[in-house]
Formats: sequence, C-alpha cells, structure tokens
Amino acid sequence: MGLLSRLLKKKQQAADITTPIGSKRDRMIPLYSVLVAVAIGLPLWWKQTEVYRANLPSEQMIAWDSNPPPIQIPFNFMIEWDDGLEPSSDLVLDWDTKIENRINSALMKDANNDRLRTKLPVSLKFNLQRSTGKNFDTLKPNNYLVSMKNHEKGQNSDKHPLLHVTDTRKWIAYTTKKKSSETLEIFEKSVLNYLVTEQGKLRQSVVTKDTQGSSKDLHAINYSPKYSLVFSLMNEDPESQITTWDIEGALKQYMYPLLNKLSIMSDFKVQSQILRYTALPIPPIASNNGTYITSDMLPNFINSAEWNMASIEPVAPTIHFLLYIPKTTSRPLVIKDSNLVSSKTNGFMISQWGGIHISNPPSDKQVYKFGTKELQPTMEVFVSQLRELLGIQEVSITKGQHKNVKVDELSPSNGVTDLELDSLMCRWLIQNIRLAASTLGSLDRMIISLTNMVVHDSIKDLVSDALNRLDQTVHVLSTGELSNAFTNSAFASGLAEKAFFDPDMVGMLYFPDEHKYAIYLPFFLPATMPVLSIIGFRLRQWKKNRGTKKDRSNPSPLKKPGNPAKPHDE
Amino acid sequence: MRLTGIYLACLSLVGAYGGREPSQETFKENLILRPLPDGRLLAHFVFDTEIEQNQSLPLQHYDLFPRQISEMVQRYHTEELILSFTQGTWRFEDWDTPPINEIGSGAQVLAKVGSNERGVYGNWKGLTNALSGMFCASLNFLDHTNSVVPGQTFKLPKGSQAQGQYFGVYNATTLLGQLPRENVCTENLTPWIKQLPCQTKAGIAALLNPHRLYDSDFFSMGLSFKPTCKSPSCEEIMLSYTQTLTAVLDLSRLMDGKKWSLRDIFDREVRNSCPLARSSSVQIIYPDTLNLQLESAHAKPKVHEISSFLKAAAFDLRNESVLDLQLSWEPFKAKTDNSAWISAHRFVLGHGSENGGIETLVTNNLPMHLNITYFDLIPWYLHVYAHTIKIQAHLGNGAIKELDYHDFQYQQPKIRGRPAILEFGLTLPPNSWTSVQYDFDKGFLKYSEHPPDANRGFNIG
Repeated sequence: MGLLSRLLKKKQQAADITTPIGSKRDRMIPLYSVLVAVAIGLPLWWKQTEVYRANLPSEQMIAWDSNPPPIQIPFNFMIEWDDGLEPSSDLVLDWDTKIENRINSALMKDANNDRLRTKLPVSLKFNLQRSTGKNFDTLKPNNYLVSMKNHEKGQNSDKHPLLHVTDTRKWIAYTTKKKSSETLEIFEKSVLNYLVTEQGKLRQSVVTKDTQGSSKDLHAINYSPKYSLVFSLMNEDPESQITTWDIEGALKQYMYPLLNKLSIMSDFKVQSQILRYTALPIPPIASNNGTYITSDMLPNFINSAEWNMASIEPVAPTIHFLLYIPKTTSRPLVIKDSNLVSSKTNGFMISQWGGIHISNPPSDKQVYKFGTKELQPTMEVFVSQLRELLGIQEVSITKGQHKNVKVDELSPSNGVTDLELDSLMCRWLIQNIRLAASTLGSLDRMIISLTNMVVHDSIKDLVSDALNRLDQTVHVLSTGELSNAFTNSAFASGLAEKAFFDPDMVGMLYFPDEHKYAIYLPFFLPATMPVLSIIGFRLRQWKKNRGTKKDRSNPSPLKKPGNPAKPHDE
Repeated sequence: MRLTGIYLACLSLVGAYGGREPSQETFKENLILRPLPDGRLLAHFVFDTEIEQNQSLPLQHYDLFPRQISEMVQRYHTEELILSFTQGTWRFEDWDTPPINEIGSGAQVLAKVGSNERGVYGNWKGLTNALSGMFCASLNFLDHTNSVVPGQTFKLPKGSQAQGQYFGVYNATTLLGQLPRENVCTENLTPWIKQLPCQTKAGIAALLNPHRLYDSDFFSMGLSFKPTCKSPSCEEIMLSYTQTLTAVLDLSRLMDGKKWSLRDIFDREVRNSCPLARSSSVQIIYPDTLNLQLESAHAKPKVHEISSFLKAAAFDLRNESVLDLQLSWEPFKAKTDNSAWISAHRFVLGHGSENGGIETLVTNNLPMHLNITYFDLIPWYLHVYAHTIKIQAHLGNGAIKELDYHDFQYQQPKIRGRPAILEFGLTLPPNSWTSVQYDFDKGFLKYSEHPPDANRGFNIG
C-alpha cells in the first residue's frame, strides 16, 4: 500500500514538475512496448506460424515441363551374314555406316519437317551393327537381328531376294552373293518406312492440344504398372437357362499368352465372376428373327446401378470384359449399326472401361456350359478389345504390298507381335516421360501459387527421385537400352504422381486467409488497440508540443497580440 | 476386329498363372418366421454360400461367392469377418433369445486380421475403408479411438487352425470396432442385396422390401466370412460366407385383422426359389401350445418338433410355384422355460455433465450356475474408475450377494487415443439377476469432438 501510494505520489510530483504532457518515461512506454512487440513478438509469431516448405529443385521441374531435353529412342539392328555373302568390294565396304547415316538423316529430316507441335522433342535413332557372331537367343525390345541367308536354288523361284519379317525380333533375308547389295537396299527401304511411321506415331502421341490427336488414343487407358481384369458372365435370366463357363481354360488358351507378353511392362490381376438377372436398361427391339439393339443404344447398355461391377482395388485401373447372355426369348440378340447391318463380332467396346460381347447359345438345354471351344469367339473379341484398350497398334513395315517383303501375320498363340510390343513400349515410355514432366511442372506451379501449403521433405525426396529417374531415362536411352529406360520412366511418373497427390499437402489448403484473420483478430485487436491509441495520442501531443516549443523559442509576431488578451479574459 | 484369324494352336506358355480346378460352390437360402408372444413376428433370413477350397490362395474365379468380399478379405489378410448393422433394441423378456449374436445398435465390425507389410492396423484400416465404400456406411471412422483388441471375448477356440492353413498366417489379431451411432438405412441394404446370387429377383430375397423392413421394431443385417476345416486334419478347407437379415415386425400396427399372408407382411411375393440354390425353404417355428393357423393354397408344410416345446412347419420352395402362405395366431404368454436363458440390460446412471455411472443387469433364467464373460468397450471420454466396480447378485430368495470376478482385464484409456476395455469372468448364481456397476467422470471435449445434434447425447455402445 505504502509503495503504491509513494509511487503515485512520485508520479504526481513528476507530472507536476514536467510539462503537462507527461514524463519522458511515460512517453517512452508505448514506444518500448511497440519495440518489444516488433523485436521479440514478431519473430516469435513468424517462427510459430511458419509453414514448412522444403526447397524443391524448381528450375529443373519447370525445365522438364517447358523445355525438355531431346528424347532419342534407339532402334538397334544387327545383321549377320552367311559365309561369303557380305558385300566385299571397296565401294560398299562401309555399307553399315552408310545405311545408318542415310536412315538417320531421313529420320531427322522427317522430324524437322513435321508440322506437329510436340511437347517432347521425340525422334528415333537407328543403329546398325555387323553381327559379332554371338548367339542371340533372346533379343531385348528394339533389338533386331537380320540374318542374311544364302538363297538356295530351287527354294524360291522368284529372282528377287526376299525379306521375311517374322513376329519375333529375328528377321530373315534370302539372298545371293550377287544380290546382297540389292537385299540391303530392300532392307533399308523397309526399315526406313517402318521407322518413319513409328516416329510419326510417337510424335503424334505427345502433340500439344491445339493440334489434333488421333482418336485411337482416346480409347486407350494410360499406362499403369498394374491392371485388374475382371471377366463377367452376365446371364439375363437364369430361370430359363443356367449358364456356366470354363473361364480358366479359355483364359489360359487365349488371354494369358498376351498377358505373359505384356508382363514385362505391367502386372495383370485376373478375376472372373458370374452375375445373374442382369436385365438390360434398354429393351431390345424385336425383329422377325430374334431381337437387336442399335449402335446408338449401346452407351446405355451397362446397368451400373444394378450390376455388381465395382472393385475394391484402390490403385490399379480395372478393365471389364462382359460376356452377355440374353434371355432365351430374346435370342438371338444382335447389335446392328444405323443402317441395320448386323455387327460381325456382336461385341463393342467402351473407351477406357472395357469390352462387351453378346453371345446367343442354343436355348434347348437347361444348363449350358461354355467350354473352351465355345468361348473362342468371345475370347477373340476380348483379346482384340484388350489390345485396343491398352493402345496396341498394328505396325506397318511396307507401304502397301511389297512383293519382296513378307510380313508375318500376328501369331495366334501370342496375341501381340514383338514389333507391336516394342512399339507399345516406346509409346508408353514417351507418355511416362511426358506425364512425369507435366506433373512436376504442375506441382511446382501449385506450390508457388499456394504459399500457405506445407511442403515436407518427403515431397522433396520424391521430386528429386523423379527427376533422377527422368535423367536416368535419357541417359539409358542414349546407351540404347529401351527396356531399362522404360522401367526408369515408369518409376519417374509414379514418383511424380505420388508427390503431386501426397495427402500431407492437401490438409492446409482448407484454410483460406479469412480463416487466419478470424483467428488472429480476436487475439491481437484488443491488445493492439490501447497501444495504438496511446501512440496516436502521444503523436498528437508531440506535434502540439513541438508547436508550442517553437512558439517559445521563436515567438511569432502574430501570436503576441493574442496573448495579452488572455489575462484580460480572466 | 482384327484377331478373327486366331485359331487354336499349340500353346506353350502359361507361366505364372497356373491352372486349377474350379471350386465347388453351393448356395442355400432359408427364411425363419417366428410368432412372438406380444403379437409381433420375427423374420430371419439366412443366405449361405460355401466354397470348397482345396487349393491355396488366391481365389480368382467366382460363381456364387461374391467377388468383392473375397477380393477384400484376400487383400487385407482378413481371416474372419463379421459385419453387422443393427437398429432398435432386442427385448429379451418378450422375444426370447435372438437368432443372431450382434444385437448392439449401430454398426460393428469384428475381424481377425493378419499382418503383412501394411501391418495389422494398416490392414484393419484398409478393410474398414473397403467395407465403408462397399456398404455406404461410415465404417471408415473406425480408428484407434473406437477399435480394440479384445482379450478373451471373441477368441476362437483352440485347435481351429483353418484360418492359419488358409492364409499362411497363424498369428492373426482379432479386432473389434463399434460405431453405435450409425444409422442403418436402404443405402446399406442395397449393396448387401447386390452380393446375393439372385438379388431380390427370385427366392426368399424377393420379400426384402425396405419399406417394411425399416418400419420394424428391431432390424439387423450382417454378413460373416469364415474358413473352416472340412476334416480334423484340416487338409481341405471350406470357406463359408453367410448373409443374415433379422427383423421384428409389429403386424398389428402394420395392418388390420388377425390373418396375415406373406404378401400382406412384406408387400412382396415369393414366386419361386432362387434357381441357383441347393436348398430353399421357409420355416415357421412356434410353441407347440400355440394354435397356429397355417393356410397355403398349393403347398403342404412338413411339421416336426424341434424341441419339447417348439414345433416347426417347413415349406420347400423348390417344389412351389407361388408360396401364398397365410398365418394367424392368438397372442400368447411366453412360458418361463421358453424365454431367454440369459439377458442383459445396460443403462447410464447419474445426471449432469461431470460424472455418472453405468449399470448392467444380467439375468440368469436357468436353474443352474452360468459362467459368463463381461466385456465392455468404453469410449475414451468416459474416465472409468476401476475401483468403483461393484458386482451384486440378487438371488431368487431376495438375498443380495457380492460376486467375485476372475480373469480381470482392464485397458486404460488414452485421451483421444484408445478406448477403455473392461473384461472379466463371472459365475452367475441360478435364477438370479446380477448388477455390474461402475462410475466415470465425463472428459472435457473440444467443440469439434461433439457429434452432430450434440444435445441428443452420445451413443456409447
């Protein structure tokens, strides 16, 4: 009590002694508190509310998106000769380098002439080597071996040499010593034509939006390291006929060979189910011979509300294949186009979803079992639909018919030729690089635009891993290894997507700036108001004080006459 | 289409996909109707799918067995799964023993989950998320705060090695998750029906009319998946998948009159049996003293006694074209030997928002001692005082006796972490009722932790 009163007294005295504005200490208190707030409070608050943002390699990310390095995809050919067939005159001694140069410059020219504006500078590179005499049992993707065989008399009556393009990576040419350079010419022409078409297709797959993409790509599902295939037998009416199928046997015969071939790039999880009472949401139209649905009714074919098609697979895209068995009264059910011409396959495809085949088994049996043989037409439809859904495209070696070149038909036991497989690998490689690059670019732009977003170190690690993988892809491509480069590109796009969709980054996005103000205002406004008002008050006083001081030190002649008036008033 | 040229040629490579014989699958459906003493009717639907599995995993090709369920249990290493959605309270005194075990209100998941690279909890999260997506329920909210590993309850008897055999994992963990507040509605029933081979198009499932089922006094639907050994040596394994639906319908409120046909009760009709079912039956179970009038235009039921005081009338649906069953009975009084052997009641004590208590009354209607395990899952925001646990048995002669518990286990709750578990064994005296009582403090909750419509209170199980 005594202390307080003494203090008060002292203050009173101080106030009495000094000017009415208050003591110097009093004047300094608000200033000090502001200083303390700024010097300690502000950094503390800043540190406390700071959002952790790891330092991402922003320049590299943007560079890959907007200005990526040129991608050169190698095609390695090797030629082995039967004894004495190789052209040996001095003029054609370095035939391999000559062919290589000619093809590469043609490819370069084609890429430069191309008016497509691509997001990735993609071109093909042709490498030709003389065989080192090694035994090639298995050839890696984009590695081809051309065997020049001695043309035996009587084996082929045709005078001209023949190039046989098989469905594996081993090609065979029949020739004689005389005709060897001519054979090389045919080989060169075929390969050039093949590579130019491939280059065109690849560049087409990465065009910018303002140039048209091919419609075939729209059906295809993007590359995924894992796919889930679900085969469903849909029986519209099990009361009139119960249907079962030997799906395992049929898959083994028709589907697994293709999947085995594709397994170098993706895993396929295969399942099958039987669904019953699957009524169509669209009633088929009756005709004098059974019923039909027209092609414009097909978009409504799938009854997603009632058919149990969902999958619990969280990541891998699911591809559905339905074998639809209509009820006996509406058999045969056929698909007709707008001109009412029946479809040959009686099947159709839904882009990026799957394929459907309608089958009309004989109605006389109570229980009908689709054996492996009965499933053959269905499986053919499914295989070709799967090829289209994955984006496997036919490969053309020659322009039109070339009598000297024989290209093998697609082998029935595989469902895909090695050339098609390599072509798919090239396209998926390019798509992966592009996807990784554009994802990284978007991620960088997003992080820059959202300043409040947390960026953990894990994101940084993912991004730098993805960038490493991209660089690695380019590096490995230059050494000529396509499958290794493909693996790297798949990793790169996977990592980039993982970084982009990281759930940690999303959390903070829900808090807009208004939320921040709403939290800070009730805290800081009551505390700052008195400080601000006292500062304002002091400022006004100080100004006034300075004015009076000036008056005293430098009395104005104008004010003087006013002063004597005061005492007069009193 | 390009591949029309494909023809059968020699096939060499099948590789990793391997080959195996198709599994044997059977499907059975059964509807049990039971007139209840208070005039209500209990309808209990059972759909059983069994698959003989003499090969190891993975299952790939499905006929009657639902693909998604199998995909889910395989993916998340779930060896056993029981899921239930329940609404309403089972009245033990009036309705006798329930045909199902899961009668607690809300949603409940009980699963034996193995461990892999995701870990047990990762698999549990995956499983509940998958179930949540499949059944349009909030099961994804089953996390650390409401999932527990029970000690003794729900344990499988020793020697049941089917699970281990089936999955190659022997040390699976049993997890229990409860969402007492979960509302059950048509959106849960629709995906449940989708898993049936005939859906509602044929067989007894045609009676599943959501308007009538959800207008009932008690409703529970669920599914269970379980592998069992076919022989003692457990070389062959049977996977059984069961879907059950139980409803107690108040007929006098639904309609006038005393004569009810199946059509009146469900507003639907059974046309035939599901053509895929190996057996399809409708059973009416009633006390032998009851004068039950059964009329059916075509079919004659097979009546047999199932116990000294219960009779059953069974219709085989596979022989029927249309089952137009008519039932009528006079309200009757439950016989004492007919009522449930054991019943339990739990309620909250006290008032205010600081503290309270929970009392559970367990009645033993049998004239002999009964060994039971008391299991209680208490949310973390109730701070239970274990020293306040009081167990008193009220004997038939009016005497009160303090009961001793054994195998006592108590899991301390963690705030915003795990719930508390109270688990102990009791021996109930004959013809008695026992009260288990304990006190708790109500924890302090953040505003965001209150459930919507907070003044309605909390559902604690």
